Amino acid sequence: MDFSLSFLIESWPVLGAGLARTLAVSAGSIALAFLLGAVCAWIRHERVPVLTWIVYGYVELFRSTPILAQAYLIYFGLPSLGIRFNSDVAACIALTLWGGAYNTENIRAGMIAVPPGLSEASSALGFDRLKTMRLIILPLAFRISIPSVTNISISIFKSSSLMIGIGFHELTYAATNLIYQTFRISEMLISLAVIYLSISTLISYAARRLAQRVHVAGV
Amino acid sequence: MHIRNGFSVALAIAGGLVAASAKAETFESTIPAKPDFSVQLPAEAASAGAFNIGVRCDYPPFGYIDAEGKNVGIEIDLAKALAYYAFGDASKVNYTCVTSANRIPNLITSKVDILIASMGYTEERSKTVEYIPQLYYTYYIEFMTTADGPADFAALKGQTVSTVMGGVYEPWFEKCMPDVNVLGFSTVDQAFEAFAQGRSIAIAHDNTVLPGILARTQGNKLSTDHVAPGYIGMAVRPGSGDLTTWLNEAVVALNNSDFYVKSLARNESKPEAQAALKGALAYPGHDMPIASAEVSPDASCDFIPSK
Repeated sequence: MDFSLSFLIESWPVLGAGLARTLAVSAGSIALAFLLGAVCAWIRHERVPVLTWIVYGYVELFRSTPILAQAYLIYFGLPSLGIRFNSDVAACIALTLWGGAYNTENIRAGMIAVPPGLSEASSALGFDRLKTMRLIILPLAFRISIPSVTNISISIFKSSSLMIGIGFHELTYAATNLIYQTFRISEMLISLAVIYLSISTLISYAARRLAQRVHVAGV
Repeated sequence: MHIRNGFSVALAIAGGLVAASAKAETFESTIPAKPDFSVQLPAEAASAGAFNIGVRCDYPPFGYIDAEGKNVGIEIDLAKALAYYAFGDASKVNYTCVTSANRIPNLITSKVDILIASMGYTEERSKTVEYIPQLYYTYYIEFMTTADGPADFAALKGQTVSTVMGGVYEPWFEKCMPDVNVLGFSTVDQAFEAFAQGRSIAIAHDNTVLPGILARTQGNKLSTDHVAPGYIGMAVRPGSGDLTTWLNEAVVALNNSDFYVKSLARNESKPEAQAALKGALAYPGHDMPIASAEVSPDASCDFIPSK
């Protein structure tokens, strides 16, 4: 195989710039998707009137449609309603909404998995529902949902490559453009695979360490 | 969004009308007589019984999909003519839709054996693929903007321009106008949509595409200058030997007839777009380069006033 290491080194500034944008949009989207998921999970878990149905619709919509179609809709569709985002913001919104929908169910599942006895005990101690949620259920639900939230976080990171469809200049865009210009396919595709694998592994490792740190025996 | 839909509908209607009017003449009758090839079609290609050709499917009038889902266009006609010469049957072509972005990877990984995909000559590309020496149409980079938009390339400084990825456009801007912010998209549709939504001040492409869009939209204009011209040719994998020679002789025969002009009439209904495109195509008496003109837009940063 004709593999040129010197070409990879020469290409690094371009790939590095793309990687920086991928990391920025992924980090932002992962954090926002977690917050959105937590809020929506709380709404669903507490069956907040009206809002619970809105969240239900949101989750079904974003779990049942392709993320690329969602990105197109946000970037190309919303301007017809007078709402316009540049490709960076549209990418972040698309990834956040997609990840948030999955995190809603992940965190809600974590809430359901908290033993009911703990809620009853907190009530017996005089905690109101909000205090019970804040101090008992949510911390435990987050711990329980760490593995599934990690999966979605890794998916958000990988799916950022689909944002090439709306002209977002991320890592895959940079690599693909280098392929078009130089036709060094092997170098670019192997680099992409190694970079995505390394960062996904890093996210997974960090989540495992976090899970170990916050592990509570018996829950 | 409705502007683009209008463009697509207009294309479909126009395609239907021109197809109907061209029914009187069979396609085969527009193909010039089979030339006396100096080489045989390589055995591998001949025994396959059909050509595997990468074509554009989003690039009217050169290569697109009609209302019946069939590949049509000027380059599709070229592919059919090659099949007619090789197998005596214009339908003996397996089409693979390629984009600016993936056409060369498709060729060099043997997904297709021939590219007839509006691919301009560039020095970098010629290191990877083998161009058929006889080229069949020319192009140059220009841009389309709104009526009150910038008139020429110099006025694009500091502005945002949309275009397609994988073409010569992004590298050219990067090299010659690095202060222009380029939004690259996978298809012309998306690049135009970004322009229509005001995300960019202009759409940069070439004179084989923009006149057609201009003719189908309102309130837009073309730039008053353009970038040094380039040449479009077919491509095969390096070392294709007799296949290259055979294809070259076929294109010479087609270039020396009015084959492309008739194909243009079948595939482009707007007279103003036809006139612009005819100036790009090969036909007898038209001053076209006849050799592998090693000129490409990315070799020059000069602007030339448009006629």
